[in-house]
Amino acid sequence: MKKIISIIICLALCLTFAAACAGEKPPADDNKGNTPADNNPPADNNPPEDNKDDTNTPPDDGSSKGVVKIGVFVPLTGDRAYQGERTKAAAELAVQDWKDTHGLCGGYEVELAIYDDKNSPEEAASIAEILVSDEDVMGAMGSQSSSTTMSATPVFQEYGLVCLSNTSSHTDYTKTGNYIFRNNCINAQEAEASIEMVQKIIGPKTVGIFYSMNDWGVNVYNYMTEVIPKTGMTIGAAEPVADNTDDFGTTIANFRAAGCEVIFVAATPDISSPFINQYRALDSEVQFSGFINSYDEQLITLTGKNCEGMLVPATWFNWSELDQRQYDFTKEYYDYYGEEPTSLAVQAYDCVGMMLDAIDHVGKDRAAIRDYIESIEYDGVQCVLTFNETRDASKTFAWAKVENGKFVQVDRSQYE
Amino acid sequence: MLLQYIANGIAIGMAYAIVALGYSIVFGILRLLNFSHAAVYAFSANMILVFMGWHFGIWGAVAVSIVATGLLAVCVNQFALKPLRKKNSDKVANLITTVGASYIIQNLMVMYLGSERKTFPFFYDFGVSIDIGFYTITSAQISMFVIAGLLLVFLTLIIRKTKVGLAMRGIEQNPLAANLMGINVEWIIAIAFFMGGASAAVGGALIGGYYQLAYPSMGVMVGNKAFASAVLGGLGVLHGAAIGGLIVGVLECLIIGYLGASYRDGIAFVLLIITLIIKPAGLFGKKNITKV
Repeated sequence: MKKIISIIICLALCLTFAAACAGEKPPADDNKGNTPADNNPPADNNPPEDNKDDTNTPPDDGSSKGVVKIGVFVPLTGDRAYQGERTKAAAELAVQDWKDTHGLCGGYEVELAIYDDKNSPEEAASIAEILVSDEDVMGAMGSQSSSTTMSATPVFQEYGLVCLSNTSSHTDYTKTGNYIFRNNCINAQEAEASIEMVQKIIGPKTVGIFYSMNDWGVNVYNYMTEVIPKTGMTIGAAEPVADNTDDFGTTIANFRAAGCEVIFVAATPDISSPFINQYRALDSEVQFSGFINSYDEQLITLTGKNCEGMLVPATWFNWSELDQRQYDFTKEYYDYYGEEPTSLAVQAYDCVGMMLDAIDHVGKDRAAIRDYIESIEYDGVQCVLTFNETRDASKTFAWAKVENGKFVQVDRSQYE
Repeated sequence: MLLQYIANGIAIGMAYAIVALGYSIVFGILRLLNFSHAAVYAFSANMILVFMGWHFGIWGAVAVSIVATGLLAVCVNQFALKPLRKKNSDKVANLITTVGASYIIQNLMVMYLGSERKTFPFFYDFGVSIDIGFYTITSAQISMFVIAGLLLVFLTLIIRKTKVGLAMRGIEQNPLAANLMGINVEWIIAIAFFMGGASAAVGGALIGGYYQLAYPSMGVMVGNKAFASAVLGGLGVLHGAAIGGLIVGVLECLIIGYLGASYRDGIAFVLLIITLIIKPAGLFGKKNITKV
């Protein structure tokens, strides 16, 4: 009898959990639509199954010469999975768009080879070994953080496979070698953009720096401590934050005691949002400024009215009234996935587009693809992309501000 | 600033204390470190959001989540630990099983609910705060302190003043003798797990609301610090867990305030190591505790 009761209780709990999971997601996710990724086999360390959808491929006159693959290594499990899913989604959309408009790529069927690196440097290095040993893989994109990607880049460089990162911002990332490219701004660029924006729009005397204790956050912090004093502003306090930190009471007390008028928030929205919420509960006057990873719907979802007025430099602007191409891509992405793209997702889309463009022009030749990308002038959705001598893509920054629960573009000319 | 740091420390310390209670309840009866407790705590906060999505309302969702989380803890016991007890398995096997259960629960949440952080309603804030210059004590901090204190008193009363509590204490002393006295040992153990799970759910609601966040891995760091708190106060002693939580919380805030946030996570574990070296039974623990 006891066994039956315990089994019934367990079944009831399992059913509740399963029904909860299968049914409605928590309120924060209400606006998410189904993504094509839902229909794909789960990515793991084994080579992915063929996930092409022939029904969506327009008929081609010429027959395929075989398969060409783009490797994508991102976290699909763990704390950073949601960020990896966005890169994966953007990559899949780029391939789908290519198939819809071009069909084959240089005579080859295009596939993505998607791997879950769990945001682990060790995993990323292992995946890099798998990718370079697959003769069909002609380029790689990943991962979610500079430190993870930089553990894989020596492998790509040694075996001569282009690695084009949509997220790495560490200054040393491209120094690994000439096969390593970046379609993201570097730490110094975004720090400079954020400082300029705050100085011109707000002009505070004392600022605070809240930064993640990772490569990116520490680099941004180091750069800001050098530059801010030269601008006439004073750094009142600087407080680091580790991942999985939720309590900021004492950190906020330190900022307030130092009289900080503006806080530079160098952390991803999942980390910065509880800080902003807790700060706003105590202080309605303080203003926040972010970096390009703050240009993310998640920031507004998690902080609501608390991030009103927050300034963010952005390399991309959703629903831009000033750029029809950006508006169109936002609409396409939103229609496909039910959410707006982040800057990093847009960069992922352009990364895959550049590699496909290279393959289309030079064929299945890794060295020729590298040479082509080095001198590319690619008309991406973000902007016309070219690479400088350190293989960093050219970037320009728009100024964005949170107003009435959404990002609006600030007219820079008012402050020049 | 000292007052502000202490006030913040008491608030965060109460959060650790609530979670630490669950470790202590189970340890008190089984002499087992239940490392699945942190994941159970995270489950509760995430399930509150799910139930809110079903239009239960915040208070309804909290109530249902308390029951569901209690049942989850019972399931961990029934399906993972009870079979091991029946086979008289080594305590280490039990310990590792709870670690495994923790990963299973957390990864199931990531798979089905997503890994991203979700907004949690700040449902017990009354918008009142006491400001003295830069020193601010919010109503949420006071609420958390009061609710956690009431939970501690409630659980202590159950253990000290009820027959179930008497049975728990009997099993703690000698399970075989308790069984011979007519106590249904497995049933009492299941109740202890339910109480641990339910208290974790109260913690999930309070802490989720205080930080306005819920996510699958939210139990990792809080769980570790709560465990350190429970050891500091004396495993198996409820008021010890509460006081241990307060000490860890206040010291953590003092460390952040005077040495910087880089050292904040270290203090709980430094205390854990010092306690194990100097006073292994903890501040209020009994000397004859068998270590795992």
